[in-house]
Amino acid sequence: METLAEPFQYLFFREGFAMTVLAGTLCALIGTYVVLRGMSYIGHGLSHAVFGGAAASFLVGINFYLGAGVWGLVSALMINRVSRRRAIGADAAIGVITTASFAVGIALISRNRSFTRNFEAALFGNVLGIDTSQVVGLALVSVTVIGAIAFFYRRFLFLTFDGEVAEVFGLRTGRLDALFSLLLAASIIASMQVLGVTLIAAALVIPPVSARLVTDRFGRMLVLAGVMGAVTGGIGIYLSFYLDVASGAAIVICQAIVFSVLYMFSAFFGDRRAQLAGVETH
Amino acid sequence: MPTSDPLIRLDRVSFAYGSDPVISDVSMTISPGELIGVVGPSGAGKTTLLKLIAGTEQPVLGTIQRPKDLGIGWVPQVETVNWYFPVTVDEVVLMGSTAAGSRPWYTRAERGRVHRLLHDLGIGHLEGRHIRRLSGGQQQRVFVARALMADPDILILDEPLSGVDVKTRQDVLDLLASLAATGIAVILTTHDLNGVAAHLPRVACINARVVADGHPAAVLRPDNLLETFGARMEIIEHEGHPIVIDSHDQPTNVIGMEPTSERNRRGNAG
Repeated sequence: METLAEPFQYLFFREGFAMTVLAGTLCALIGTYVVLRGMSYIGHGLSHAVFGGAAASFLVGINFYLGAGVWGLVSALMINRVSRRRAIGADAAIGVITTASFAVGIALISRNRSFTRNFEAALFGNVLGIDTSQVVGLALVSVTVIGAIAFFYRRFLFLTFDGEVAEVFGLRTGRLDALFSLLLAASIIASMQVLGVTLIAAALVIPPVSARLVTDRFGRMLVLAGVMGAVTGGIGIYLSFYLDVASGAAIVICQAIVFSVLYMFSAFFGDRRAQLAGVETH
Repeated sequence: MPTSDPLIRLDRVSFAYGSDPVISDVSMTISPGELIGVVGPSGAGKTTLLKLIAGTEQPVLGTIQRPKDLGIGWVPQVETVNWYFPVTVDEVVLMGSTAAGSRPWYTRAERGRVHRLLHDLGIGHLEGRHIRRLSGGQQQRVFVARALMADPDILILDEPLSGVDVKTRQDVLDLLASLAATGIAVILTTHDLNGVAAHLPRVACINARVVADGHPAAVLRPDNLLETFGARMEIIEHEGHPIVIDSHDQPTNVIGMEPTSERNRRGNAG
């Protein structure tokens, strides 16, 4: 017990713990919709797009959250817009827009090597550089996103299940799509410090897919994914502390272990849930 | 029973995706209580016509008149539904009362209505079941229930008879007839000409434009079917209903091969 409590005597660990639990929960909740809309790649792409915005905001000397936020939102809206053209599709739209944005970030960094170290944290996640304002920022984003998910629960469910038909039933799907893009971009930006650009995608995808293995109901999947995100976030920060590894990597490894155990459990008992989750079993 | 005042009126409506015309100069009216089948070959614009009626697509030319507060219930093609999505029957039906401005949570009244609807449709025992674990007929009923949750004036069904067995086809068409009898206008697209002929009082043959529209006995004629499908078909009558059968005419030699019967005859002679 003392060993478990020991890290909490450090302020950075307390703040890091709060950040990883919040980021794990947040990414898992919003990721549930991302996975079910068949847009798992968007988390990967959008976090890379935000990286370009972060680099640009450093260079021109504006607030990181403002720069990355506007950049991320514009990227998400552009993906939405381009992917509506069926000839292109969501995956290609994400690929074009986000890699171009990431390339801008890399180009800016390579010309200004003085802040290379800061971006290592942005790429792989680091709790050491956290300050209280970032914890408060993530907490505010979490409350906003969870509140929006609760308020728009029914509408987001219909939109995710069948967006075209939802429009016939009177839902303003264009506005809902834009709101979802905003929530997703905000979640990614707020979680970037602890999870890292390259690992956010995993935090968005793995807990929802793991939850899908154990339930057929959407509401339960959402809650289970959130719980898994929070627990693996908490365990991940301990591993990061004791093993001296990047926080994002530790969290994602925990989530991958949970997925593997649940997958093997369902496969071993011949459960059809793996098949229902769309996971190939052969 | 249909009433005389039309619910929806399409007047010389045309529609195109880009420069490709899909619907051309279509005029038709839909009245409350009507049960209409729309038939035509693949790519004839059947689904586009339904979208125009629903208002999710807007005509390039012509006008569509419908009441501002028109209630629409849409039953999608089963092929377009993600059957692996984690939702149960009751969750799908509850989507029907989800619209802009609806409460964030499901009310007790809504849940009670879902229960009654499913019971009335004969699938009350399936309320908590995952949608993947339903038969074809049960799946159709679930989506009809969802459409009915929206209190529709018109029920629009895209290929509801696709891939279902004969019994399910009869059940679905009987269900739609009973809904039309309550005053709901019902319009569906299908490739099942004989199902339409036997069960529906009105059929429209579409191939970009309306080739024929009216009672099946008047519409399902070889000339109309040739114009609609580009294929020769014969009509026989059974108990007052037309039955469509493929023509026994010698097929046209389109790829330079002689008919099998001709080869056999020459082979036997040799």
